[in-house]
Amino acid sequence: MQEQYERIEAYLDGTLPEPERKAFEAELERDQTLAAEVELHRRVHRTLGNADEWAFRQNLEAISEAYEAPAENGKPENRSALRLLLGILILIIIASLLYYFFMPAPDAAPTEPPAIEQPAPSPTAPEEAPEEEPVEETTTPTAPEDTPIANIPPDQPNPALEALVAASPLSATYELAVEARFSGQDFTLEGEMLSAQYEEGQSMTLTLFDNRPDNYPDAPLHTGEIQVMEIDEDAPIAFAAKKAYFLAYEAALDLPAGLYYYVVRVDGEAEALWVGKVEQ
Amino acid sequence: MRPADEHYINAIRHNDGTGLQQLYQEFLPRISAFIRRNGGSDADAKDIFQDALIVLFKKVQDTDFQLTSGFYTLLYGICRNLWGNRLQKKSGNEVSIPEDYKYTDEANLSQLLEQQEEEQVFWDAFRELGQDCQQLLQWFFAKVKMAEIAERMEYSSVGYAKKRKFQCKEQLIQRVKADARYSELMNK
Repeated sequence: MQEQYERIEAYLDGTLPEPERKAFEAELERDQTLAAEVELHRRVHRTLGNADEWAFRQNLEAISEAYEAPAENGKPENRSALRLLLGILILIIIASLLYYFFMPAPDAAPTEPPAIEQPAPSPTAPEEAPEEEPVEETTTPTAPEDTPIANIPPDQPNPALEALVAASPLSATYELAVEARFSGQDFTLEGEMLSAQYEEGQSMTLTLFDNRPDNYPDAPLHTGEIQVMEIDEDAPIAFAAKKAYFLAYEAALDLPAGLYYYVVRVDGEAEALWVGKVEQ
Repeated sequence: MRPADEHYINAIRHNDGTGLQQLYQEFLPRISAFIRRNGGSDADAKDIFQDALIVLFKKVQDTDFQLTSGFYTLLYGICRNLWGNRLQKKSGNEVSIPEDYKYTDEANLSQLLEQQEEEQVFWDAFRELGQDCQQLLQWFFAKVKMAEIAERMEYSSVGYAKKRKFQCKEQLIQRVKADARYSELMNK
C-alpha cells in the first residue's frame, strides 16, 4: 500500500521514470478504481499544497479563535446596547434620587434645606454611587439639557442611533443587508433583502438624519422610496419560502461634511428594518 | 472603491492580520445574526465567514478583480450562497449554485464557490488528523524533501519519515472517503 502511494505521488510529481510511467498509464486505462484513487490524490495535493492559502487559513484560524471571547460573552453590539440601557436606567435612578433629595417635601417649608428625616429612598443611594462612572461615559449625549445643541460636532455619534446601527438588521421578517455611501453629492444605497413576506409593490422608504439627537426621529433631512427588484434565481432557495431582493436608492444631496444616519422602513411595519450610518 | 472597502480587499489580498481582525469585528456579528436566523449556530457562522474570506482571497489574487458592489454586500452574498448550499445539502436536496445571482455573477464567483465546497472536504479531513500528522503533511504537500522532514520532525531515519507520511496520508484519504460529500465530489 505504501508503495502504491509512492508510485501515485511520483506519477503526479512527474518523477516516475519513463518505462514505469507508460506502464502506470496503461494500468490507469484498465483499472478504474486506480484511476479514481489517482484523481483523489491529485485533488488532495492541489488543495493542500497551496502555500499562500495555507498562510491565509492559518491567519484566519488564529483570528477566529481570538474572536471567541467577545462572541461567547455576548455580541459586541448587544453589549454596547445593554450598556446604553443600563446607563439610562442608572441615570433615571439617580435623577429620581436627586429629585427626592432636593425637591422640597410637600409638607416642608420651601426655604428648608433638604430634610434629613427623608431618607426613605436613600438606602439604594450608596449602592448606586460607585456605578456613576460608566453613566457619565455612556449617557452624556442622552441628556440634551446639559449639551447645547448648537455645539454638537457634525461627526459626533448619536448614541441612540448607534445602538440601532449595531443591532441592524432589526427585523427577522424582512432581513436586510444594505450599505450607503456618499460620493461627492451623490448618495447611494444598495444591498439585499431576504423575505417571505414582502409583496411586489409594497413600498420601502429611506429616511436620512443628521447626528443631532433632537432631530431623530421627527426632523429627517431627506426621504425617498427605495427601488426593490426580485433576484431571479432558478435554483431552489433553501431559506424556506424567503425570496431575495436587490435594493437600490440614489439621490443628489447637498449636505455639509458630517455623520449621517439612514433608516429603512417598509410599508405596513411599525419598526425600522435597518439603521445605518454614512459619512459625508 | 470606497477607502474602507479598499482597505478590506487589501487586507485579504495581502493576508494582513490587523486588517483581517477588523474585518471579523466589523462583519462577523452581522453574518452570525443572518446565519442564526436561518437555522444555523454561531459556530456555523464562523465556518461560513471563513470560507467566504477564502473564496475572496482566491478571487482578489486576480489582478483584474474589481469590486462592483459594496464590500459588505459582496461578502454577504457569498455567505448567503455558501450557507444556502450547506442547508440544501443537509436537507438532501439537489445542489446547484444559482448561475444568475447578481453579485456572484458580477464577480464571476460561482466557480470559486463550487471549488470552495469541494476543497472543504479535504480541509475538514485534514483538520481531524493529529498535530504531528498535520505538520508532517503540511511540509510534504509543500514539497519539502523527506530527508529534511525527517530532520525537522526529529525522526530517526528518512525511512521512518516516509512510513509516517504514508500512515498520515492514508488516514487523510480514508477520512475523505468516509465523508458523505466525497462521492458527490468524485462524480464531478
